[in-house]
Amino acid sequence: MLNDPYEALGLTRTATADEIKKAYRKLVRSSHPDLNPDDAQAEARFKAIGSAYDLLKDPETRARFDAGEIDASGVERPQRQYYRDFADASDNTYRERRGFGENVNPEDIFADILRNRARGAGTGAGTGGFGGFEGRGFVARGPDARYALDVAFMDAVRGAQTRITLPDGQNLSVTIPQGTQDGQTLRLRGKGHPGYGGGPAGDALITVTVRPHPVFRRDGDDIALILPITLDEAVLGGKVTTPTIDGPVGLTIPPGSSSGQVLRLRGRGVGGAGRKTKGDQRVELKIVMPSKPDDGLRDYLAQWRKTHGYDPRADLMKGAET
Amino acid sequence: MTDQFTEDDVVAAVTRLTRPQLIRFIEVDFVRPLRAGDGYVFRSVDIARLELLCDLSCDLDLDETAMGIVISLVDQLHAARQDLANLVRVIDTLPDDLRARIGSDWTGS
Repeated sequence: MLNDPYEALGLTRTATADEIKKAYRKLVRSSHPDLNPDDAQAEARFKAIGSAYDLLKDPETRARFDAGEIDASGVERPQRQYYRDFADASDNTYRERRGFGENVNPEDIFADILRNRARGAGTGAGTGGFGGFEGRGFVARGPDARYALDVAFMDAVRGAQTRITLPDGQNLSVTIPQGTQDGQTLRLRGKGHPGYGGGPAGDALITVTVRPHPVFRRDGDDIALILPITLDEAVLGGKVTTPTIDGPVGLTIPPGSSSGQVLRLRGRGVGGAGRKTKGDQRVELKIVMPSKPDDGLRDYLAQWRKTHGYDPRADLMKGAET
Repeated sequence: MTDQFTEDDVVAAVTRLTRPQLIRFIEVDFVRPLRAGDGYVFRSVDIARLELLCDLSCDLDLDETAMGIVISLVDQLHAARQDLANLVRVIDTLPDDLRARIGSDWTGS
Protein backbone atom coordinates (compact mmCIF):
# COMPACT_ATOMS: atom_id res chain seq x y z
CA MET A 1 0.00 0.00 0.00
CA LEU A 2 1.51 3.27 -0.95
CA ASN A 3 0.58 6.68 0.26
CA ASP A 4 2.50 9.12 -1.85
CA PRO A 5 3.39 8.14 -5.39
CA TYR A 6 5.89 10.98 -5.61
CA GLU A 7 7.71 9.64 -2.63
CA ALA A 8 7.66 6.15 -4.07
CA LEU A 9 9.51 7.43 -7.12
CA GLY A 10 11.76 9.70 -5.07
CA LEU A 11 10.32 12.85 -6.61
CA THR A 12 8.66 16.05 -5.54
CA ARG A 13 5.30 17.31 -6.73
CA THR A 14 6.96 19.67 -9.17
CA ALA A 15 8.51 16.84 -11.17
CA THR A 16 8.05 17.04 -14.93
CA ALA A 17 6.63 14.17 -16.97
CA ASP A 18 10.12 13.50 -18.22
CA GLU A 19 11.54 13.31 -14.73
CA ILE A 20 8.79 10.92 -13.72
CA LYS A 21 9.63 8.64 -16.61
CA LYS A 22 13.34 8.76 -15.90
CA ALA A 23 12.90 8.08 -12.20
CA TYR A 24 10.62 5.16 -12.93
CA ARG A 25 13.05 3.61 -15.40
CA LYS A 26 15.89 3.90 -12.98
CA LEU A 27 13.87 2.17 -10.29
CA VAL A 28 12.69 -0.56 -12.65
CA ARG A 29 16.30 -1.42 -13.26
CA SER A 30 16.99 -1.92 -9.59
CA SER A 31 13.61 -3.28 -8.53
CA HIS A 32 12.28 -5.48 -11.30
CA PRO A 33 12.06 -8.96 -9.79
CA ASP A 34 13.20 -10.57 -13.02
CA LEU A 35 16.24 -8.37 -13.29
CA ASN A 36 17.03 -8.84 -9.60
CA PRO A 37 16.06 -12.44 -8.97
CA ASP A 38 17.93 -12.75 -5.68
CA ASP A 39 16.27 -9.71 -4.15
CA ALA A 40 13.30 -10.90 -2.08
CA GLN A 41 12.02 -7.36 -1.58
CA ALA A 42 12.13 -6.51 -5.25
CA GLU A 43 8.58 -7.57 -5.97
CA ALA A 44 7.05 -5.31 -3.32
CA ARG A 45 9.16 -2.36 -4.43
CA PHE A 46 8.40 -2.96 -8.09
CA LYS A 47 4.69 -3.11 -7.37
CA ALA A 48 4.84 0.15 -5.45
CA ILE A 49 6.77 2.06 -8.07
CA GLY A 50 4.61 0.54 -10.81
CA SER A 51 1.45 1.74 -9.13
CA ALA A 52 2.98 5.14 -8.54
CA TYR A 53 4.04 5.41 -12.16
CA ASP A 54 0.65 4.28 -13.45
CA LEU A 55 -0.91 7.12 -11.50
CA LEU A 56 1.59 9.82 -12.39
CA LYS A 57 2.29 9.05 -16.04
CA ASP A 58 -1.24 10.01 -17.05
CA PRO A 59 -1.58 13.80 -16.68
CA GLU A 60 -5.28 13.43 -15.95
CA THR A 61 -4.98 10.99 -13.06
CA ARG A 62 -1.98 12.91 -11.82
CA ALA A 63 -4.03 16.13 -11.74
CA ARG A 64 -6.86 14.40 -9.94
CA PHE A 65 -4.47 12.98 -7.39
CA ASP A 66 -2.84 16.40 -6.92
CA ALA A 67 -6.29 17.89 -6.39
CA GLY A 68 -7.08 15.26 -3.79
CA GLU A 69 -9.89 13.73 -5.80
CA ILE A 70 -8.41 10.25 -5.78
CA ASP A 71 -5.91 8.51 -3.57
CA ALA A 72 -3.21 6.17 -4.63
CA SER A 73 -5.06 3.01 -3.66
CA GLY A 74 -7.11 2.86 -6.85
CA VAL A 75 -4.19 2.13 -9.08
CA GLU A 76 -2.63 -0.83 -7.39
CA ARG A 77 -1.34 -3.20 -9.97
CA PRO A 78 -3.00 -6.58 -10.13
CA GLN A 79 -1.18 -9.63 -8.88
CA ARG A 80 1.08 -11.08 -11.50
CA GLN A 81 3.55 -13.85 -11.83
CA TYR A 82 7.12 -13.01 -12.56
CA TYR A 83 9.37 -14.90 -14.86
CA ARG A 84 11.75 -15.69 -12.04
CA ASP A 85 9.00 -17.74 -10.40
CA PHE A 86 9.29 -20.16 -13.30
CA ALA A 87 12.90 -19.75 -14.19
CA ASP A 88 14.08 -22.39 -11.76
CA ALA A 89 11.50 -24.97 -12.79
CA SER A 90 13.12 -28.08 -14.14
CA ASP A 91 11.10 -27.87 -17.35
CA ASN A 92 12.05 -24.29 -18.15
CA THR A 93 13.05 -24.48 -21.79
CA TYR A 94 14.60 -21.03 -21.77
CA ARG A 95 17.36 -21.66 -19.32
CA GLU A 96 20.66 -22.35 -21.00
CA ARG A 97 20.78 -26.02 -20.32
CA ARG A 98 23.89 -27.00 -18.50
CA GLY A 99 24.56 -28.14 -15.05
CA PHE A 100 23.06 -31.12 -13.33
CA GLY A 101 20.64 -32.36 -15.94
CA GLU A 102 19.56 -35.96 -16.08
CA ASN A 103 22.04 -36.77 -18.80
CA VAL A 104 24.91 -34.77 -17.46
CA ASN A 105 27.61 -36.31 -15.39
CA PRO A 106 28.20 -34.05 -12.36
CA GLU A 107 31.90 -34.71 -12.70
CA ASP A 108 31.81 -32.81 -15.97
CA ILE A 109 30.52 -29.77 -14.16
CA PHE A 110 33.31 -29.80 -11.62
CA ALA A 111 35.82 -30.41 -14.37
CA ASP A 112 34.34 -27.46 -16.19
CA ILE A 113 34.61 -25.20 -13.17
CA LEU A 114 38.20 -26.24 -12.54
CA ARG A 115 39.06 -25.73 -16.17
CA ASN A 116 37.57 -22.27 -16.20
CA ARG A 117 39.58 -21.43 -13.14
CA ALA A 118 42.73 -22.75 -14.79
CA ARG A 119 42.01 -20.72 -17.89
CA GLY A 120 41.42 -17.61 -15.86
CA ALA A 121 44.77 -18.10 -14.11
CA GLY A 122 46.64 -18.89 -17.32
CA THR A 123 48.25 -16.53 -19.73
CA GLY A 124 45.27 -16.52 -22.05
CA ALA A 125 47.42 -17.16 -25.08
CA GLY A 126 46.92 -20.02 -27.48
CA THR A 127 43.37 -20.87 -26.58
CA GLY A 128 41.04 -22.92 -28.73
CA GLY A 129 41.68 -25.74 -31.12
CA PHE A 130 42.83 -29.22 -30.33
CA GLY A 131 45.81 -30.15 -28.27
CA GLY A 132 45.79 -27.50 -25.57
CA PHE A 133 46.42 -30.17 -22.98
CA GLU A 134 48.88 -28.51 -20.66
CA GLY A 135 47.07 -27.04 -17.73
CA ARG A 136 44.28 -25.88 -19.91
CA GLY A 137 42.37 -29.03 -20.61
CA PHE A 138 41.23 -30.59 -23.80
CA VAL A 139 39.33 -28.22 -26.05
CA ALA A 140 37.28 -29.51 -28.96
CA ARG A 141 34.25 -28.66 -30.95
CA GLY A 142 31.21 -30.75 -30.05
CA PRO A 143 29.89 -33.39 -32.43
CA ASP A 144 27.14 -32.57 -34.90
CA ALA A 145 23.66 -33.80 -34.16
CA ARG A 146 21.44 -35.16 -36.93
CA TYR A 147 17.71 -34.83 -37.07
CA ALA A 148 14.98 -35.52 -39.60
CA LEU A 149 12.14 -33.11 -40.17
CA ASP A 150 8.88 -33.57 -42.05
CA VAL A 151 7.76 -30.32 -43.66
CA ALA A 152 4.49 -29.44 -45.36
CA PHE A 153 4.81 -28.66 -49.08
CA MET A 154 3.65 -25.06 -48.65
CA ASP A 155 6.05 -24.41 -45.77
CA ALA A 156 8.93 -25.65 -47.92
CA VAL A 157 8.16 -23.52 -50.97
CA ARG A 158 7.21 -20.38 -49.05
CA GLY A 159 9.53 -20.72 -46.09
CA ALA A 160 8.39 -21.15 -42.52
CA GLN A 161 9.37 -21.15 -38.91
CA THR A 162 9.00 -24.37 -37.00
CA ARG A 163 10.54 -26.21 -34.13
CA ILE A 164 11.60 -29.72 -33.48
CA THR A 165 11.41 -31.43 -30.15
CA LEU A 166 14.63 -33.16 -29.29
CA PRO A 167 14.76 -36.54 -27.54
CA ASP A 168 15.64 -34.78 -24.28
CA GLY A 169 12.44 -32.72 -24.46
CA GLN A 170 14.14 -29.50 -25.50
CA ASN A 171 12.88 -27.51 -28.43
CA LEU A 172 14.98 -26.34 -31.32
CA SER A 173 13.70 -23.49 -33.44
CA VAL A 174 14.21 -24.13 -37.14
CA THR A 175 13.83 -21.69 -40.00
CA ILE A 176 12.78 -23.44 -43.18
CA PRO A 177 14.21 -21.21 -45.93
CA GLN A 178 11.97 -20.34 -48.84
CA GLY A 179 12.35 -22.89 -51.62
CA THR A 180 13.66 -25.73 -49.49
CA GLN A 181 13.89 -28.95 -51.51
CA ASP A 182 12.98 -32.44 -50.52
CA GLY A 183 16.04 -34.16 -49.08
CA GLN A 184 17.88 -30.89 -48.40
CA THR A 185 19.89 -30.63 -45.19
CA LEU A 186 19.71 -27.53 -43.04
CA ARG A 187 22.62 -26.62 -40.81
CA LEU A 188 22.00 -24.83 -37.52
CA ARG A 189 25.33 -23.61 -36.25
CA GLY A 190 26.08 -24.34 -32.64
CA LYS A 191 22.87 -26.28 -32.06
CA GLY A 192 24.53 -29.67 -31.97
CA HIS A 193 26.17 -31.40 -29.03
CA PRO A 194 28.12 -29.22 -26.59
CA GLY A 195 31.84 -28.81 -27.07
CA TYR A 196 34.52 -30.17 -24.79
CA GLY A 197 36.47 -28.02 -22.44
CA GLY A 198 34.82 -24.79 -23.48
CA GLY A 199 35.04 -25.59 -27.18
CA PRO A 200 32.19 -24.49 -29.42
CA ALA A 201 29.11 -26.69 -29.77
CA GLY A 202 28.63 -28.78 -32.90
CA ASP A 203 25.99 -28.06 -35.50
CA ALA A 204 22.54 -29.51 -35.85
CA LEU A 205 22.04 -31.07 -39.28
CA ILE A 206 18.41 -31.37 -40.19
CA THR A 207 17.39 -33.40 -43.20
CA VAL A 208 14.11 -32.18 -44.57
CA THR A 209 11.46 -34.39 -46.10
CA VAL A 210 8.83 -32.40 -47.97
CA ARG A 211 5.36 -33.89 -47.88
CA PRO A 212 3.66 -33.98 -51.31
CA HIS A 213 0.83 -31.57 -52.03
CA PRO A 214 -2.51 -32.82 -53.40
CA VAL A 215 -2.58 -30.10 -56.09
CA PHE A 216 0.89 -28.64 -56.62
CA ARG A 217 3.91 -30.53 -57.82
CA ARG A 218 7.43 -29.20 -57.69
CA ASP A 219 9.82 -29.40 -60.63
CA GLY A 220 13.00 -27.54 -59.81
CA ASP A 221 11.85 -24.01 -59.17
CA ASP A 222 8.74 -24.49 -61.27
CA ILE A 223 5.39 -25.47 -59.84
CA ALA A 224 3.21 -27.72 -61.98
CA LEU A 225 -0.47 -28.31 -61.57
CA ILE A 226 -3.35 -29.72 -63.60
CA LEU A 227 -6.22 -27.27 -63.93
CA PRO A 228 -9.67 -28.61 -64.87
CA ILE A 229 -11.57 -26.41 -67.36
CA THR A 230 -15.00 -26.74 -68.95
CA LEU A 231 -15.71 -27.65 -72.55
CA ASP A 232 -16.97 -24.15 -73.31
CA GLU A 233 -13.89 -22.53 -71.72
CA ALA A 234 -11.78 -24.75 -73.99
CA VAL A 235 -13.71 -23.85 -77.13
CA LEU A 236 -14.43 -20.19 -76.49
CA GLY A 237 -11.53 -19.28 -74.28
CA GLY A 238 -12.01 -17.20 -71.16
CA LYS A 239 -10.63 -16.00 -67.89
CA VAL A 240 -10.44 -18.50 -65.05
CA THR A 241 -8.84 -18.50 -61.64
CA THR A 242 -5.99 -20.86 -60.86
CA PRO A 243 -4.46 -21.51 -57.46
CA THR A 244 -0.77 -20.69 -57.10
CA ILE A 245 1.52 -21.15 -54.13
CA ASP A 246 0.95 -17.49 -53.30
CA GLY A 247 -2.82 -17.52 -53.72
CA PRO A 248 -5.34 -17.48 -56.57
CA VAL A 249 -4.37 -15.77 -59.81
CA GLY A 250 -6.35 -14.97 -62.98
CA LEU A 251 -5.44 -17.02 -66.05
CA THR A 252 -6.59 -16.46 -69.65
CA ILE A 253 -7.49 -19.62 -71.55
CA PRO A 254 -6.97 -19.04 -75.28
CA PRO A 255 -9.91 -20.07 -77.52
CA GLY A 256 -9.56 -23.60 -78.87
CA SER A 257 -7.44 -24.96 -76.04
CA SER A 258 -6.87 -28.69 -75.70
CA SER A 259 -6.40 -30.98 -72.75
CA GLY A 260 -2.72 -31.35 -71.98
CA GLN A 261 -1.87 -27.87 -73.23
CA VAL A 262 0.48 -26.11 -70.81
CA LEU A 263 0.19 -22.43 -69.95
CA ARG A 264 3.03 -20.72 -68.19
CA LEU A 265 2.61 -18.17 -65.40
CA ARG A 266 5.97 -16.41 -65.21
CA GLY A 267 7.39 -15.78 -61.78
CA ARG A 268 4.68 -17.68 -59.97
CA GLY A 269 6.94 -20.53 -59.01
CA VAL A 270 9.41 -20.95 -56.21
CA GLY A 271 11.67 -18.09 -55.13
CA GLY A 272 14.13 -17.63 -52.33
CA ALA A 273 17.69 -16.83 -51.45
CA GLY A 274 20.28 -17.56 -54.10
CA ARG A 275 17.83 -17.27 -56.98
CA LYS A 276 17.87 -14.35 -59.39
CA THR A 277 14.29 -14.92 -60.48
CA LYS A 278 11.45 -16.99 -59.24
CA GLY A 279 10.41 -20.11 -61.11
CA ASP A 280 7.22 -20.32 -63.16
CA GLN A 281 3.97 -22.07 -62.59
CA ARG A 282 3.05 -24.46 -65.39
CA VAL A 283 -0.67 -24.98 -65.71
CA GLU A 284 -1.70 -28.08 -67.63
CA LEU A 285 -5.25 -27.84 -68.89
CA LYS A 286 -7.67 -30.71 -68.52
CA ILE A 287 -11.06 -30.47 -70.17
CA VAL A 288 -13.78 -31.88 -67.93
CA MET A 289 -17.16 -32.81 -69.44
CA PRO A 290 -20.36 -31.74 -67.69
CA SER A 291 -21.40 -34.30 -65.11
CA LYS A 292 -24.81 -34.87 -66.73
CA PRO A 293 -25.09 -35.77 -70.42
CA ASP A 294 -26.59 -32.88 -72.30
CA ASP A 295 -29.05 -33.74 -75.04
CA GLY A 296 -28.74 -30.39 -76.80
CA LEU A 297 -24.96 -30.64 -76.88
CA ARG A 298 -25.12 -34.23 -78.11
CA ASP A 299 -27.54 -33.37 -80.92
CA TYR A 300 -25.48 -30.39 -81.94
CA LEU A 301 -22.26 -32.38 -82.06
CA ALA A 302 -23.95 -35.17 -84.03
CA GLN A 303 -24.74 -32.58 -86.67
CA TRP A 304 -21.38 -30.86 -86.34
CA ARG A 305 -19.49 -34.11 -86.85
CA LYS A 306 -21.04 -34.62 -90.28
CA THR A 307 -19.50 -31.48 -91.65
CA HIS A 308 -16.43 -30.92 -89.45
CA GLY A 309 -14.92 -34.34 -88.94
CA TYR A 310 -11.20 -34.31 -88.03
CA ASP A 311 -8.71 -36.95 -86.99
CA PRO A 312 -6.23 -35.88 -84.29
CA ARG A 313 -4.68 -39.38 -84.46
CA ALA A 314 -3.82 -39.19 -88.13
CA ASP A 315 -0.16 -38.36 -87.46
CA LEU A 316 0.12 -40.12 -84.11
CA MET A 317 2.40 -42.93 -85.25
CA LYS A 318 4.14 -40.96 -87.94
CA GLY A 319 7.88 -41.24 -87.57
CA ALA A 320 7.58 -43.72 -84.74
CA GLU A 321 9.01 -47.17 -85.24
CA THR A 322 6.37 -49.85 -85.22
CA MET B 1 1.54 -27.29 -14.00
CA THR B 2 -0.50 -28.40 -16.98
CA ASP B 3 -1.85 -24.95 -17.80
CA GLN B 4 -2.11 -24.20 -21.49
CA PHE B 5 -3.11 -21.02 -23.24
CA THR B 6 -3.96 -20.14 -26.82
CA GLU B 7 -2.67 -17.13 -28.72
CA ASP B 8 -5.96 -15.34 -27.96
CA ASP B 9 -5.67 -16.11 -24.25
CA VAL B 10 -2.17 -14.66 -24.21
CA VAL B 11 -3.04 -11.44 -26.02
CA ALA B 12 -5.94 -10.99 -23.57
CA ALA B 13 -3.88 -11.86 -20.48
CA VAL B 14 -0.86 -9.70 -21.27
CA THR B 15 -2.75 -6.47 -21.79
CA ARG B 16 0.14 -4.48 -23.24
CA LEU B 17 0.91 -7.11 -25.83
CA THR B 18 -0.39 -6.80 -29.39
CA ARG B 19 -0.75 -9.75 -31.69
CA PRO B 20 1.91 -8.59 -34.22
CA GLN B 21 4.31 -8.08 -31.31
CA LEU B 22 3.62 -11.57 -30.06
CA ILE B 23 4.28 -13.00 -33.51
CA ARG B 24 7.51 -11.02 -33.70
CA PHE B 25 8.67 -12.26 -30.29
CA ILE B 26 8.10 -15.81 -31.50
CA GLU B 27 9.92 -15.11 -34.77
CA VAL B 28 13.00 -13.82 -33.04
CA ASP B 29 12.85 -16.65 -30.53
CA PHE B 30 12.28 -14.53 -27.41
CA VAL B 31 9.41 -16.85 -26.50
CA ARG B 32 9.15 -20.43 -27.56
CA PRO B 33 5.59 -21.69 -27.32
CA LEU B 34 4.85 -25.23 -28.34
CA ARG B 35 3.43 -25.81 -31.78
CA ALA B 36 0.02 -27.46 -31.95
CA GLY B 37 -1.53 -27.91 -35.37
CA ASP B 38 -1.95 -24.48 -36.92
CA GLY B 39 -1.40 -22.52 -33.73
CA TYR B 40 0.68 -22.25 -30.62
CA VAL B 41 0.23 -23.44 -27.08
CA PHE B 42 1.59 -21.19 -24.37
CA ARG B 43 2.42 -22.08 -20.79
CA SER B 44 2.47 -19.92 -17.67
CA VAL B 45 6.20 -19.47 -18.02
CA ASP B 46 5.66 -17.99 -21.50
CA ILE B 47 3.12 -15.50 -20.14
CA ALA B 48 5.44 -14.44 -17.32
CA ARG B 49 8.25 -14.08 -19.83
CA LEU B 50 6.05 -11.99 -22.12
CA GLU B 51 5.22 -9.70 -19.18
CA LEU B 52 8.93 -9.25 -18.66
CA LEU B 53 9.46 -8.55 -22.37
CA CYS B 54 6.69 -5.93 -22.24
CA ASP B 55 8.36 -4.32 -19.22
CA LEU B 56 11.58 -4.16 -21.19
CA SER B 57 10.02 -2.76 -24.35
CA CYS B 58 7.30 -0.49 -22.88
CA ASP B 59 8.76 0.69 -19.59
CA LEU B 60 12.43 0.70 -20.45
CA ASP B 61 12.06 1.49 -24.16
CA LEU B 62 14.51 -1.20 -25.18
CA ASP B 63 14.66 -2.04 -28.85
CA GLU B 64 14.74 -5.57 -30.14
CA THR B 65 18.52 -5.85 -30.11
CA ALA B 66 18.80 -4.67 -26.53
CA MET B 67 15.93 -6.92 -25.46
CA GLY B 68 17.69 -9.89 -27.03
CA ILE B 69 20.80 -9.13 -25.02
CA VAL B 70 18.92 -8.62 -21.77
CA ILE B 71 16.78 -11.73 -22.10
CA SER B 72 19.80 -13.83 -22.98
CA LEU B 73 21.65 -12.52 -19.91
CA VAL B 74 18.59 -13.20 -17.74
CA ASP B 75 18.54 -16.77 -19.04
CA GLN B 76 22.22 -17.20 -18.32
CA LEU B 77 21.76 -15.68 -14.89
CA HIS B 78 19.07 -18.19 -14.06
CA ALA B 79 21.25 -21.01 -15.33
CA ALA B 80 24.10 -19.85 -13.12
CA ARG B 81 21.82 -19.50 -10.11
CA GLN B 82 20.49 -22.97 -10.67
CA ASP B 83 23.99 -24.40 -10.89
CA LEU B 84 24.95 -22.58 -7.72
CA ALA B 85 21.85 -23.81 -5.88
CA ASN B 86 22.64 -27.37 -6.95
CA LEU B 87 26.23 -26.99 -5.86
CA VAL B 88 25.12 -25.73 -2.45
CA ARG B 89 22.73 -28.64 -2.14
CA VAL B 90 25.52 -31.08 -2.90
CA ILE B 91 27.89 -29.41 -0.47
CA ASP B 92 25.21 -29.61 2.23
CA THR B 93 25.32 -33.39 2.03
CA LEU B 94 29.08 -33.54 2.58
CA PRO B 95 30.67 -34.36 5.94
CA ASP B 96 31.18 -31.44 8.31
CA ASP B 97 34.97 -31.25 8.01
CA LEU B 98 34.77 -31.08 4.22
CA ARG B 99 32.13 -28.38 4.41
CA ALA B 100 34.26 -26.40 6.80
CA ARG B 101 37.21 -26.64 4.44
CA ILE B 102 35.09 -25.51 1.51
CA GLY B 103 33.81 -22.65 3.60
CA SER B 104 37.26 -21.45 4.60
CA ASP B 105 38.63 -21.89 1.10
CA TRP B 106 35.71 -19.94 -0.28
CA THR B 107 36.19 -16.93 1.97
CA GLY B 108 39.98 -17.31 2.12
CA SER B 109 40.87 -17.10 -1.54
